[in-house]
Amino acid sequence: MSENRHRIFGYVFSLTGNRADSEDLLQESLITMWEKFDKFDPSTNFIAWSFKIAYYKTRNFQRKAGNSKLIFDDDILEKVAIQFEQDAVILDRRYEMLQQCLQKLNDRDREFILSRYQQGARVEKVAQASGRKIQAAYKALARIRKRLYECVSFNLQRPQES
Amino acid sequence: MSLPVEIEGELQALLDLMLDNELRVDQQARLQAILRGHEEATAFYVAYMKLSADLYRLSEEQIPPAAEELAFIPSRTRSRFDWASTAAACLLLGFFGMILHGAWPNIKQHMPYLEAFTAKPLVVHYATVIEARRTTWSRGGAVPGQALGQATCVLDEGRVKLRLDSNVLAEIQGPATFRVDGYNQLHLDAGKVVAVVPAEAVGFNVQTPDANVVDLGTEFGVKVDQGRDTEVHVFKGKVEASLKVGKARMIALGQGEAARFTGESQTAEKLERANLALFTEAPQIARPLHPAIPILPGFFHEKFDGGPNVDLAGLRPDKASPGISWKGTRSAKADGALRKEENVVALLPFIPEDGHRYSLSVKLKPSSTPQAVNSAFLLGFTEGGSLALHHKDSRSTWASMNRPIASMKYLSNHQVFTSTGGTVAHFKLEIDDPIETLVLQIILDTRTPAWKLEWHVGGKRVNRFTYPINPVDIDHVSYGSQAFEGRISEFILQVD
Repeated sequence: MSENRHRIFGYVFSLTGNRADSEDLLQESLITMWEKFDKFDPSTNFIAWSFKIAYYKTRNFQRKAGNSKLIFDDDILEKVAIQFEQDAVILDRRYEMLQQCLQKLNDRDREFILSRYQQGARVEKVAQASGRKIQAAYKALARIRKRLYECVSFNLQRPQES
Repeated sequence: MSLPVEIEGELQALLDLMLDNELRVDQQARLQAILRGHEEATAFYVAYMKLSADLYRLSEEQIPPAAEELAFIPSRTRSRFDWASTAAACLLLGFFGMILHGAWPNIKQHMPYLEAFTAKPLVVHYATVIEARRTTWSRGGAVPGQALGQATCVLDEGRVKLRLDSNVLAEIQGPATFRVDGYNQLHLDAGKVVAVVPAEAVGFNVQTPDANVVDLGTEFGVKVDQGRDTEVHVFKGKVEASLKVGKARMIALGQGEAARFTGESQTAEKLERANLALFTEAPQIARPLHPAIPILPGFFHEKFDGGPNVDLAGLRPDKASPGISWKGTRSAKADGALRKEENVVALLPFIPEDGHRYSLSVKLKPSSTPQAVNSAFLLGFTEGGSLALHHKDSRSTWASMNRPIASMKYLSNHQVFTSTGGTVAHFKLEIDDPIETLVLQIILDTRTPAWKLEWHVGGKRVNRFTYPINPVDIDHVSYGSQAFEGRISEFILQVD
């Protein structure tokens, strides 16, 4: 279940762009999945079923949030959802590649980016802890993320090891 | 078909604004317009968001020892994450991305408060200098351990060895004019380069004024002379090379083969054989050649008995190897000298050679108040092997061998683990916070073709590892700690 949980989180996060909202929606989706599990057909794709539940949870959440939240138009939301489902397999590989790419960073950059993404982390505090000025911290984050994105994309083009 | 680079830059910026909850209505409309108007934009969007989702996952579940050193964050705060900060960073990520791509005017005009960060364009680097010998630069350049920017570099003389992010090793022989402006590519306008391309970087590309050289898994040399001819010589494996101008003619070259490309006459011809003499260092490029700093037999020795080691600034080692100077400020640059960085991390640029026994050790003084929460100590031949002592309060589930460090979790409150090249080699020992002075030591033995590494704790060997013949990417030694201030009494690198 753990892997699927991360898949669903990634899926919801791509729809909301907000970590806290995504975690809440994930929890709600998991509860719904639990409640409706007797209706799930084991001969079908479980993750697609769970995505669908998460999709409707997200759409409803955004509709209720109204102007207080960024919301995509339904056609865009659906477009993103479809893209995520289409790319689900390769998106899983992105996580694997990211682990490898992180190891290619020097220690300082790796510490920095992971600290930045820890729960509760603030850029200001991460910057302070690493001895960087805030502007330098932003630049470093930009540089590191760009490297990671390119590294992951590059590695995905390589043949998958058997 | 890929997303146009200017659209990608703008999209990235908009995504970061979205993450910041700062996306205004007009920007939201623009974002949706891009997603509607470009089929490839949605794929980029999803992949970009997935990267952040994965980083959250990695940072929360797989805390590396290094990250632990920055463990200033309450571990049990179920949070409405501080998204304002997150998005501020992300916003800037995209903003800088747009600057990089020169495609951000529509965004910039709406974000004057960010202009303070745009005085200098973002420099993204794709290569690191790992060795330099007798180098003189008239433009650009870097010292070992430093990253090389994307700008054109002019190497007047000497040799410089680079490692690209794709793991390609490239040795440039001056005089040369070149730039590394891509993840797996190099532009050579003049001079010579020898490239050793590992399997994972097949497709490595060298662009010259006249030719485009694409690696197919090999070792090869490219020479661009002043007349702007390009010669390609293959030492091992295969490459494909073609003339850039006129009617493209691709030439496949195998081991021992060579070709010359001349733009002016639009000719591409195979030569009789590769001339290895043009690239005198080619066979050795995959080996560590010389240390960045002359480390002579003897030892480097620091004593930090003066107080908390967070205040190392201004202290001097009682003895030091020739050529090493102590830079004890937080702002010291990677200038080839020992430097003290934030969070109690000290680095000594260092590249081991064959034929020595290197001993790296620290003495950890006992504490009257044993550490219990969120403390860590790390000692290592960076990228080669490290030893970490961790204390962590009640967070944990498992530890495993041969997993990336990023996968490491806490097995208990007190533990020691060892690692090589970013991989946990072996989990071996659990200890309590020492009540007597404890010596932590790593020994690197390069006296045999296959280098060996040993980890010792308190005089007892806890693990050992034999490297393959392949070169080991060690470029400095270091120690770092969190909550061990004042307890490191000595840091010693001894070379026999």
